[in-house]
Amino acid sequence: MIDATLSTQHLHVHCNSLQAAGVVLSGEIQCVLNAGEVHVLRGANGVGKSTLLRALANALPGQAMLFKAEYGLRDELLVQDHVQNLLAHLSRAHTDMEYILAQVSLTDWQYERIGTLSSGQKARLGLCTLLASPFLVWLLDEPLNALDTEGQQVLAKALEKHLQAGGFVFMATHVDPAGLLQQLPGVAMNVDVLAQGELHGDAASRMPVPPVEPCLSSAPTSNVPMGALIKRDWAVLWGNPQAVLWGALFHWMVLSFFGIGLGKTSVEFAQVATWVSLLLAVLLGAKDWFAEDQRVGWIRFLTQINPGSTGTYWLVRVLYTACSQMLVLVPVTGLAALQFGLNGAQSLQLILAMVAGVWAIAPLLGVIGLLVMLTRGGAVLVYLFALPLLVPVLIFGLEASQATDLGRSALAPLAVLFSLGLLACLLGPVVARRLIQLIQE
Amino acid sequence: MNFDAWQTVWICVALSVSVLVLDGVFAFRAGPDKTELARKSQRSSRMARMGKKGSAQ
Amino acid sequence: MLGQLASPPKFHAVASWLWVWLLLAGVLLLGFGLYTGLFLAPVDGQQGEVYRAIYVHVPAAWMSMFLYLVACGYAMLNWVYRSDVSAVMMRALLPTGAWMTALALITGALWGKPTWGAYWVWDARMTSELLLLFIYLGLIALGQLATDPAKADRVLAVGLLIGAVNIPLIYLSVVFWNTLHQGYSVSLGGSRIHPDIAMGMWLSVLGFWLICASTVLNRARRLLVQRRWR
Repeated sequence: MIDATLSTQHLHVHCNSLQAAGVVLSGEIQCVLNAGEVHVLRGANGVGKSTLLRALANALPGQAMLFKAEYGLRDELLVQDHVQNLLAHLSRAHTDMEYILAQVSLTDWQYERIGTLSSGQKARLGLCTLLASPFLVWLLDEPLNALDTEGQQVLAKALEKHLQAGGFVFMATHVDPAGLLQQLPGVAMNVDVLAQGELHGDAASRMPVPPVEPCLSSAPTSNVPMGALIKRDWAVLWGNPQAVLWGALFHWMVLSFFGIGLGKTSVEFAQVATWVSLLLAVLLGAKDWFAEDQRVGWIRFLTQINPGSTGTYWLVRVLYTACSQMLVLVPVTGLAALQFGLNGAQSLQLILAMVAGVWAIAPLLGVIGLLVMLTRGGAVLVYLFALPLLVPVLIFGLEASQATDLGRSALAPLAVLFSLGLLACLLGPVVARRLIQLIQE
Repeated sequence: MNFDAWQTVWICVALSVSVLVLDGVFAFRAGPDKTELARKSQRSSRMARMGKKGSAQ
Repeated sequence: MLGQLASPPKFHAVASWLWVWLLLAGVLLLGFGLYTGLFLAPVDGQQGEVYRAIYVHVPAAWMSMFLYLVACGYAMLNWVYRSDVSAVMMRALLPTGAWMTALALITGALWGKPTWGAYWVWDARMTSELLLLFIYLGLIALGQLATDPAKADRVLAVGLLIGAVNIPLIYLSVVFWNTLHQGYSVSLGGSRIHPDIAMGMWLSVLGFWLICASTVLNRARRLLVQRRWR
């Protein structure tokens, strides 16, 4: 457990032991950072520098910014999409975008996809976060690795401005930062080394200052930029449509297998097969709903810059995926219905029921998608747990598909499916926020 | 193969008892209890002491 | 008094002797229950001798559901208090629950063949029991597979609670389906239950409960040692 107290002049850090994924990296760590000075954290690879910075970031929600070179950059997005999204989350005007891009000299790349940028350019784009952020504490994880000389100049300028405003800088690097510090005249440098489970150096040997200054408690940003979340998901979806399309093709292929194997089938069989195939197609894709955002660090990024928005982010993603699945699967189901010889009314019932079914399972699978990220290689076994949970949807969905033919009302099962989905969407963000918090620790 | 009534009943009873026993046995494998832990640590320190005395074990 | 049990050393101390007594009591009660049910109770008019399988099938089925509920209780405690004891109890209940579910399914199938001519029917109870087994296995895996042992407890707690919300839903939906489709219904047959049958049943249920409790406590205390004193 790490304990960090922030005041206007000093940042006191105390940690009983650094751990990552159950591996103990260090013993007791204690240090005091001064405002307006650069603190460098050195140490060999694997010794725990990143873990320390990450733990510190988690301990100072809403006040610290963890910066890593390619952090939070999603390949499908355009540069300007990313920066505008960033500004929206930080409650800044989106007219600032041009100014920030100019500072990192990426104005000419405004409309490029992030995936096409070089790693140095991506690192510079990452610097935009620092430039835009109002955070007092900057935790930089190996910032010098990817930055070219121009990038380093930008970083130096940003650091100068930040330090003059009384900010804190804690930089982990195994590259000698002398070159950077030449560009920061008059700024004191403190070096600390993390080795053999202990921290030694300038900050570590500083005595804790008695708390005469007021403690700055975290003030989490309360705004949730719905517009930005929606726009981002839209951009991500269009940047990589195959993530949605493969599910539809899988669904169609599986149904075709049944057709090939059985030839003429009864209407009832066709309905059941279509449902099973749909549920499996959506289930199998669930592990990827958040995987890429987690991999590029966007989710962790979000929990830092705007922790209150993680629940809404989850909900927006779930709704987007549900809608895109519905859009794609409806034509496929229509086609399948034709192939299996269902008449018009039956096909329509089936499609309607499927739309309700996707709505019902989407939030559940959103939670499953998060659970998967908490297990090692665990997708298969988490699905084992998830399968029984789909059974009610299968049952009510089938009932909705067959009801009118059998002289019953399809309204009741459709209502059940709709309420299930609604309930899950109401409870989901709360659970999701907890799980996302858990993932980041 | 078809069992008659009593055979079925006895098989069910035997299965239940076996399951209860197996479950109980596997519970022992969930971890050590304090005495076992103490015994193990005493053994390993004994081994270490013997090892330090130079005898190749 | 119960609050004191939340402290790991206290819990370990109590569990270490309690499980033995529970086991002895359970074996005794189960023995009596089976004796009553297998030898003293009369033959059922409709099903014949085979009905006696209920003396193990019903306790197993009830245990499978009861243990899940208790695990959920501990999951909620764990979510709020994050204590070692609640985490360990949560995990200790799952394997026994899974065993009971499997036993209920197998004994149910064996009973079903002579009684209704089929090993398996897709009625509400058997189907829900099967799905419960999947959920148990999935949860056991979830508890083992978390990347970070420190987080594993909360992941497991979330999984348990999601399952809890869904199990009644699963059961009700299957009941719903089967009533519409003229499904099979499993019932004991006979409107009056002979006192010896009832006695045998209750003794067996209690016996099962005590034996399960003893195994769970034993497993829990060992898991606790593994967690804290290793």
